[in-house]
Amino acid sequence: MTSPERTTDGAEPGPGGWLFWTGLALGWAVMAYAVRGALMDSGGTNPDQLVRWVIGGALVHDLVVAPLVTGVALLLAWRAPSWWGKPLGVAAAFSAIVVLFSWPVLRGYGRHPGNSSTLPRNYTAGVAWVIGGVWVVTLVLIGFRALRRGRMDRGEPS
Amino acid sequence: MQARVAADPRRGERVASWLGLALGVSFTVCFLTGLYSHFAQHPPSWFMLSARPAGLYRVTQGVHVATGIAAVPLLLAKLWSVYPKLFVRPPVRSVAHALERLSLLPLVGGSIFMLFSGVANIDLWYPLPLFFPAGHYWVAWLTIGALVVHIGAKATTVRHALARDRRPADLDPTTATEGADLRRGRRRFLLSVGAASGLLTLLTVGETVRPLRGLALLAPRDPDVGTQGFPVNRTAEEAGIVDEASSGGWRLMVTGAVERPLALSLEQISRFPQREATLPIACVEGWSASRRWRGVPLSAVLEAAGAPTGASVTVRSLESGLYAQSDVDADQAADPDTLLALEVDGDRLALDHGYPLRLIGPNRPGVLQTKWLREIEVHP
Repeated sequence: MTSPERTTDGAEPGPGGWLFWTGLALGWAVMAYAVRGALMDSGGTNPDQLVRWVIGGALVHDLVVAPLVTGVALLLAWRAPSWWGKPLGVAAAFSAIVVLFSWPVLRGYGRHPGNSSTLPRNYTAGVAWVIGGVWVVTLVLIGFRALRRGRMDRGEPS
Repeated sequence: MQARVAADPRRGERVASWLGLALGVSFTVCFLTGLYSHFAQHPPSWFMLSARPAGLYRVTQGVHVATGIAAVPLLLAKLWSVYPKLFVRPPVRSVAHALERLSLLPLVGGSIFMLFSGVANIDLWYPLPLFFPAGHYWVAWLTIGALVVHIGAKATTVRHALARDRRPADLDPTTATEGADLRRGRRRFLLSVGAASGLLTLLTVGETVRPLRGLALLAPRDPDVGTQGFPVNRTAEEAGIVDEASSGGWRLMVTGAVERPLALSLEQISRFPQREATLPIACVEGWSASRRWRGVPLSAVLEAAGAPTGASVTVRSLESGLYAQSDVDADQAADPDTLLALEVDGDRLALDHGYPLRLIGPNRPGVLQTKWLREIEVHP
């Protein structure tokens, strides 16, 4: 694929132009303001810990989460035909996101004894309903595709 | 592996561009609504929290949290989509390229931090060894700064990628070689990410959009659950004010720049002309609940004390700590719906909602609707 923003060898060209340099100057100025603010407000921000969490988040993603997800995706692409492998992958990814997002409420970390309004729902049931619904839809979709493929194999109109 | 990645429609420039655009919009919305909340709670000299529209804070913070939640699948999909670029060779081609790549660390780390700490905060969970508002605020600036660099670096790429999407594929030489499968795969991936964002939002937004309450299976609050039928952030027990608030010796002191300092008992306050107003309690954590409040307009008490016209005040609570007081500027203090509330929905205030007396005003963050009032200090 070639495009106006690519070099002849297909690599992305280095950034440049007035928009890049303006964005670079403005963006780094804003980041400098943020660092200064975090240092000035060190009683609240705890800068050492803040840096660890910000950099740590990126590292955990790049070194753990992304390779894991990529590995699962490659495995699915390798072992499963796309007509059922891809919907399965989407359902698995969405289920993982729901569990990840709901983890604090599932574990009840923020529930305060004596305050009935904190985390008032049955989140285990909620997550089960959501994930169950996603998998029902996915399996129905895969079932339809299987039927259609069967008809096509038998030469019937789909 | 490289060929497989190159043929993967989910990892092309168009997918990255669409996701980047959606993330850019959602992060900007989150940043601006978050900034509004920060200014409302820590007003700089040039900022005045207007009393009207009464539900503005409720809407902005509902949008803030809903947009942040919608951004979770968007961010994960975007990071996954561009992950192979992490290993591009050579890793750095120029000083400009190095600076651009360096800004990806605060962009990625800041984005993950913002969404993780934000979700934890709405769930009332504080695992980070720092004060949430301070960390969330300064990392927001860091992330937005990195986003500005990224937009400057990628604007041209995004423009080209999206322009190609608008052209018919058969007329576009850059897409002519793309198979229909690739285009279909790309569309399906983007639709899946959009559906995940929409669904996650739908499953939580009912904590502030009441008609959707029944769908809010994952919402950490329910606007109809709590003492007197709506949520409480800090109970009287947690605030440690039960004895003082229940004591018959309680008085509301009106002090400062007034002609007649007052010490009003609950009975004396009850004899002031009463007023009703339907106002929301709107929390920065994204939940809100509208209720019918009854009490004395703050302006009536200020008038009785002989406060100057256009005065601002500081109200103080029986509790101690971070939210033990709040400022009410002139616009808010003069608003007839800014009440010293005695009742909610026809019942006397429960201790958890601020008995004997609490402040409730239009367009104020929940933490500034000070409960268990003990003093009003008037400023000239």
